[in-house]
This record gives sequence, structure tokens and C-alpha cells, in this order.
Amino acid sequence: MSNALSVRGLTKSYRGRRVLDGLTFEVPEGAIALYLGPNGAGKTTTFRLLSGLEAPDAGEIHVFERPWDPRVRRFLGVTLEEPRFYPWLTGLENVEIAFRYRRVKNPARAALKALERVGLTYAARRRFRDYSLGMRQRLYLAAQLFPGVRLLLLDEPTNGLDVEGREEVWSTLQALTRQGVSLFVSTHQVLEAERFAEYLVVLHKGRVAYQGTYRDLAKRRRFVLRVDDVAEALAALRAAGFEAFLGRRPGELYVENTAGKVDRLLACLTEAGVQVLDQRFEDLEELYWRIKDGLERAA
Amino acid sequence: MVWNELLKVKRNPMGLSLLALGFFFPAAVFLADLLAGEQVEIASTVQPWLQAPVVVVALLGAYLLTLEAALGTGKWIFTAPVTPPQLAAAKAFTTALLALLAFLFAVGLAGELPSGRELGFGGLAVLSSLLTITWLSGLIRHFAGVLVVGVVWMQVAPWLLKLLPQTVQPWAWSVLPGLGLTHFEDAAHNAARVLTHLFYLLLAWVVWRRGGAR
Repeated sequence: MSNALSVRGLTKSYRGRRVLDGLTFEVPEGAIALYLGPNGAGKTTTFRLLSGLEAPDAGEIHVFERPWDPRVRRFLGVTLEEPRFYPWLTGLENVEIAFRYRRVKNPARAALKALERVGLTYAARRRFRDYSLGMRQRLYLAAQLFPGVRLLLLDEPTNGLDVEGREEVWSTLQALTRQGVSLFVSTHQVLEAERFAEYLVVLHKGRVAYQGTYRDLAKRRRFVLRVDDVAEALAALRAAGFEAFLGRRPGELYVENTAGKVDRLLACLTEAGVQVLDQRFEDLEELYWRIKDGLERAA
Repeated sequence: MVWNELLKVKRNPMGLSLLALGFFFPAAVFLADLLAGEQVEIASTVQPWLQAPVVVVALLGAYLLTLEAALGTGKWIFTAPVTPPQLAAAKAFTTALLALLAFLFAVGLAGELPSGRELGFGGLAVLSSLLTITWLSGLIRHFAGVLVVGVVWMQVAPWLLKLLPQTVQPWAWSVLPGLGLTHFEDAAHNAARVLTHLFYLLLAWVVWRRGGAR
């Protein structure tokens, strides 16, 4: 599969402070790739560089295998944080303006079609100032759904939205990938990544901490157990060849590399007479913090 | 691009008010003079047909040129295949178009046409005002800021110029930004006037590009 986006050694500093430090990652074509990182990790800076609002100090950006130049904007849609439009104009007129900047043929008709793709046809002739935050986010998205768009770079598209609003945006994004649009979406909400990501790029202090499919990352999740006798459980698991160690809470154990081995693991504990009080896989948020802590310790 | 700028004025209370102010400025001056009575005379230093386009340029031009900075819409506009100079040019062209309409409206209202020579100098004055407003707005990027700086400069600079020796004053007038550019009837200093203002324009463009999109 070819890459929709490919970034090599991207570096950017502001007044001597390095925000991005040799960033390297790829986004496969036709996927939803999530760009995950805490506030201040450098996500917005990456988007400013990818969209051409600023030039990097070093590094290369390739969009659909061609080096970045202003012409890639013809098939690159970008949203950057807050949706801001002309409040006195209708949603349709605002999208029409955005399409005119892109020299779209018949911009009014194309704008109406874009509103339809994000489910805003009913509010097309309502003024932007009367839109809710969720509607504004979707309008921002519609303004980037011009004919010919192939890659969308969305910076925090669900920021400030309630659960319902987030669901609306995510279902719209999933529908877009089915229509062949590649998506690179930043978020600091790890649980969104768990639900929607096919591919993940995890950013930490200007560097890529992890990149790969969500499935591969999920394999790295630890199995978390709460047992009545920790010492006995540890001994039994280690004897059976599992990489087990103490958890953070009393009675808690972590076991690494358990994919496909959970039944054997539980059987081993039963044989040792250990009662399992609770069992689950580590969620992505815990895994994310673990990757981040590991990097900080290594640094 | 021009259609986009016109669309931004549509239903826009601020934009429409500024446009109306430009169109009806000569009428407002005339009415103010009428209401002031015989003791006080209210008049403009320029002819009514020139007042309307100049006010449109000074107010609506500055407003349109700083609109994206005020609303924060520049971010997404510059992710489209449009450059800051293209956007500024579209805004300046739209302002020129509306200034032309304001001129025609004022001529229709006053019922008299200026002479060809007056029209030539007046046209150049409007064009140079538009250039000054364009680069000033590009640098300041704030509507109220442009107005304040413009008005303060127009008040302070002439007062400062009077402190200079008499022989230097006409030269200083012609080369200072925003002051002497509109006075094309002073033909002796036109070359210095045009060259220095072209330099200011270039300087503003360079400064603007440094903070702009690639």
C-alpha cells in the first residue's frame, strides 16, 4: 500500500526551543491515522508545517509520494483547531467562499454537496453564528471537502465537543474513508484512538514514540490481573514462562506478551490455587502513559 | 476572488455601514453645514465627488484588508491554493470597484462632473490612498489600529513638518508615507513621491511575507 503522507526528519524550532525533533512517520493511503500526543507535544506545529503555513527548519514532506510544494494544496484539505468563519453569512455561503478560493467549478452546488456529506444540509441556509460547536466543526470539515480532495489533515476536530458531537464527527470521518479519502487526525483523547484508529502515530516531546497499526499496538498491551495471593501468582506465572511482575495497586499483576495465551495463563493460576478477582487488558490510555513514561525514563 | 470579497460585505452590519458612510459622506458634510447655521461653516478640503471614494477606501478598504486577521479565518484560507498577495490584491481591487461606484453615486448626487485634469489627479489620489491603506493594513492587521495610526499620523506629521526649513518641507511632504502621495498636482516632486512610495510598498511586502504563508 502506498503512503498518503510521508514525513522524514522534520525539525522545527521557535526562538531556540526545538518543538519538532527529526519527526519521521508515514500515513497509509485510505486509512484513518491518528496523531496522538499531549497538549504542547508539537501536534499543531506539525499541522502548520504539513499544510504549508510555515516552512520546516529541516526535513522532507511527501504527499502521495510527491515532495511537498504549494500545488499539493489542490488535493489537501486542512482544519486547524477552532472553526472560524464569517458569522453573518450562512453555512452554505461560507463553504462557497472556501471553494471559490480553491477555484472549484460551480462552487455553490459543490458547497451544497459538501454540506450533504457532513449531514448539514438542513442548516445550509442558517447563519454561522447560530451554529452549535458540533455543527461548526462539521462545517469546517465541509469547507475542506472540495472536489478532488484526497487527504485531510484535521487538527483536534473533536475539541470541545460533547459525546454526541464527537460521535457525529467520527461517523462522518469514517464515512469519508469509505469514499477513498485518507485522514490524518490529531487528538489528545486516547480513547478516541482506541475506537477509531486504524493507524497510530504517537508523538512525545517532538519525536515519534510509536507508529504502526492499532492492531500491532494492541498486541503490546499488558494483561492486568487482580489476585488473592500475589506472591503465589507471580511464582506460578514465571514458572510457566510468563513475563509477570507486580502492578501499581495492591493485589495487581501485569503480564506481558499474552496475546493468544490468556486461557493458558488463567489455567496456570487455577492450578496453583490462586483466585483471580479481576482480569482485563490494559486500555490504550494506560499503554500510552507507559510508552510516555518509558521515553522519559530513557531520556 | 472579487466575488468572495463582495460576499463578505453581504449582510455584514459593519461592512455595509462603512460602505454607506462612504457613499453618503458628501451628503453628510452638506447636511452638517446646513444644520450648523450661518455662523459656522463645515466643509471638506476635497471636492464632494472625491470624498466618497476616499472614505470608501479609508474605511471599507481597511476593514476588508484586516477582516481575516480579526476573525482568524486566514488560517484556513492560506491552506488553500491562494497566497497572501493574491488575497490582498482581490481586496484592493474590490475596494477600488466600490470606490468607483461611490464616485459615480456622488457625481449623480451632486449633478456635476469634474474636469478631465481634476479626474486624473483625483483618480491617482484614490489609487495611491488605496496602496497606502493596503500596505498599512498588511503591516498592522487590525482595523482600529489602521484607523488610529492613520489619523494620528495625518495629525502629527504635518505639525512636525512645519518645524523643518521651508525649502525642505515640500520634499518631506512628498516622500513621507501616506502624506504627500495623493498630491499629484505638485508635479515638481512626483518622481520622488512615486519612487519612495514604491519603496514603502516593497518594504511592506517583504515584512508581510516574512510572517505569511509559503
